[in-house]
Amino acid sequence: MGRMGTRNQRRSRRLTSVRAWGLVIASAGILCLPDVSWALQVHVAPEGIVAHQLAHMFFAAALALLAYWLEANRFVEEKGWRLIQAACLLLILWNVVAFCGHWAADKVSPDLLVGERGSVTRRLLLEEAPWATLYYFLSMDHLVCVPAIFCLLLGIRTLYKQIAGNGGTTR
Amino acid sequence: MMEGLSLAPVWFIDVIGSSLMIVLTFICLYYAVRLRRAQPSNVIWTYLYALSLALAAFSVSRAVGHIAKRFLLLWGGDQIWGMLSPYSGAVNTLTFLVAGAITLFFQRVQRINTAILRDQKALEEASREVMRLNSDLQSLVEARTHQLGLSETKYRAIFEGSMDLIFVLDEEGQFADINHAAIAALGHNSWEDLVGTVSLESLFATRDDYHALMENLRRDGFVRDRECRLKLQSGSEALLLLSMTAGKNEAGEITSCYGIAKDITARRRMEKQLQRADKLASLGQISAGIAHEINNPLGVILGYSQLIKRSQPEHSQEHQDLQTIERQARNCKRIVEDLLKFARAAESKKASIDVNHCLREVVALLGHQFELDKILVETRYDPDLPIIEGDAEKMKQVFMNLLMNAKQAISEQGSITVSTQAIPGDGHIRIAVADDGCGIPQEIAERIFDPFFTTKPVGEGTGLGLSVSYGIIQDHSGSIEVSSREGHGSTFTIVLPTKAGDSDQVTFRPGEETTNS
Repeated sequence: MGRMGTRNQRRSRRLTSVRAWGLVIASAGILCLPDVSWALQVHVAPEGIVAHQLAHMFFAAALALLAYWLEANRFVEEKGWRLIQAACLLLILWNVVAFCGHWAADKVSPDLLVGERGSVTRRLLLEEAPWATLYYFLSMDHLVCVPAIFCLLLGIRTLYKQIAGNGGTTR
Repeated sequence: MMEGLSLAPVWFIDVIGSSLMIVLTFICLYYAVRLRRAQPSNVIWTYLYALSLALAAFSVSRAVGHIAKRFLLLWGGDQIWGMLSPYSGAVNTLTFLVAGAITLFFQRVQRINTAILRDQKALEEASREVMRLNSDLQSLVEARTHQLGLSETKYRAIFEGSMDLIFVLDEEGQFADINHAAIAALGHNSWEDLVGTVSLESLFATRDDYHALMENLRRDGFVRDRECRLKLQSGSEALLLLSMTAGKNEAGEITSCYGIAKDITARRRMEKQLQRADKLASLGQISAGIAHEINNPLGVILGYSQLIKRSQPEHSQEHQDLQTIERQARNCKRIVEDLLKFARAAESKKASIDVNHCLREVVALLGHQFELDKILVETRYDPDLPIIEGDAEKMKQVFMNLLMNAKQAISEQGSITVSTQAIPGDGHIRIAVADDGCGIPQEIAERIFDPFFTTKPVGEGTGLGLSVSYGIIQDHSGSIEVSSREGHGSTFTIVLPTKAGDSDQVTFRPGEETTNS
């Protein structure tokens, strides 16, 4: 034990030393090779949609992990958690739908939307099908996310009722 | 005419769906809050609460993007929507990220929480196990204490209730504990008189016996059935049959001794009495045989000497010689008669007699002589002494012998105490003749009743007095005992049965001797 501890300490000291030298060399390089530098990075418009799409992917990945985790840890043996797992899967599907919807929206020209802006009578021209058709149907993503949140509500409510009835999970 | 699909379904689904999202997510939040309140320490409910909160925020931001957008555009609020649009999208994005981050973070937290709960459960189980062990230990200790108490009570009862003497000695050889029987047997009154103050060594009559005992203990670790003579508080001695065990330390040194002893003084005395009675009975048989065989020739010798003496002149040498023969023959005849009395072969004339009256006569007869010898005779007669069945003359002879022996034991001056006493409810009377003379040495005490045993110079006594007395008392179904301390005097005690049938009631008045019919 003592010998092992000493070895780890030596290793840690060596790493610290390497980092310090790396910092010194990098600083020297920056000072010796000056160039144009920008104080602030400029963010252009597409960053918004990219960040939003990445957020959809991240959210879907987190939900997929949660759904797997509920299965792996046998939470799904209880009804409440089964409903929550279903909500996860539906939300993943909604993320996919939304992701694809945003992507399709980017492909569809604004000129295809005819009629008064914001009006219920507005129409989508299908000249750029299949992107326009895809965009049209994917725009109705509430058909997926509302059932997902409803499942989540049922799941949480079931768990609450179990707890309230003293017969619920103690997880 | 315009071609294409109407966006009205999209419009309505957006508005209605967004509204439902707000309603549903806030109901989710409501139940999540209730769950969290029900079990505040449960990290899962905290996660669901955070997720619901993030989704509620998401639904609100989404509502801005879908509902507000629709109405703003419809009512010409293009500029306002242009301002709100980036924020709505950004908040919407943030809510995804937060919900995702919470979900990822939750899994990590849940893993830690599970580990904590597992450890907590293990700790609780360990705690319960410790409690159970503690409880078991307490029960065990209580049970053992109870058993120990019962054992202590049992052994204490044996210790205290034993008729034998039980004691414990400490390292110094002093009494560390002793039972009631031992305290009483040693003549003490209380535990404190002996424990911590008296050593066993100090009680031994002879120190050599004690040292020999301890030597055996050191060598063997125990001593079994060893006869020891101990001094009692009263000054007398007791014979004990002692067994002891030594308690030793690791170095082999005696640290304590445990002893148990039985007082065999009375038993030994009884054994000696039986031996003596047996011996005297044998001697009596021999004496009776010899006496009978000698008695007839003596009678012939006496008869012929008297016959020849009559034919001789009165002052002649032959006459004087025959007188000497006659005198010695009579002496022999008296000895033979004494032997017959000792052997209980002599005929007795038994009648109801008053022992007090017999004693008065004997004391009166010897009184003058005792006065001359400065010997005080004290009498303590029991006025209610029952009559006994016996030969008055023989009883007087016994009393005479005892008083003469007492007188001879007192060298110069002293006193003799004669007492009688009815033993209550026993059917016996006790007669005691005590003197304060020289006493009887221990070594000859066993032989004083033997025929011809005497301490007097040759020619001054035949050694038949106590033997005859013994024989007479035996003939009266009684017993005679002597207790003596050398230098302090002796006491002869006679126990005789009262007259059968009226022993308790009938008392005999002086001069009222009756003949047994």
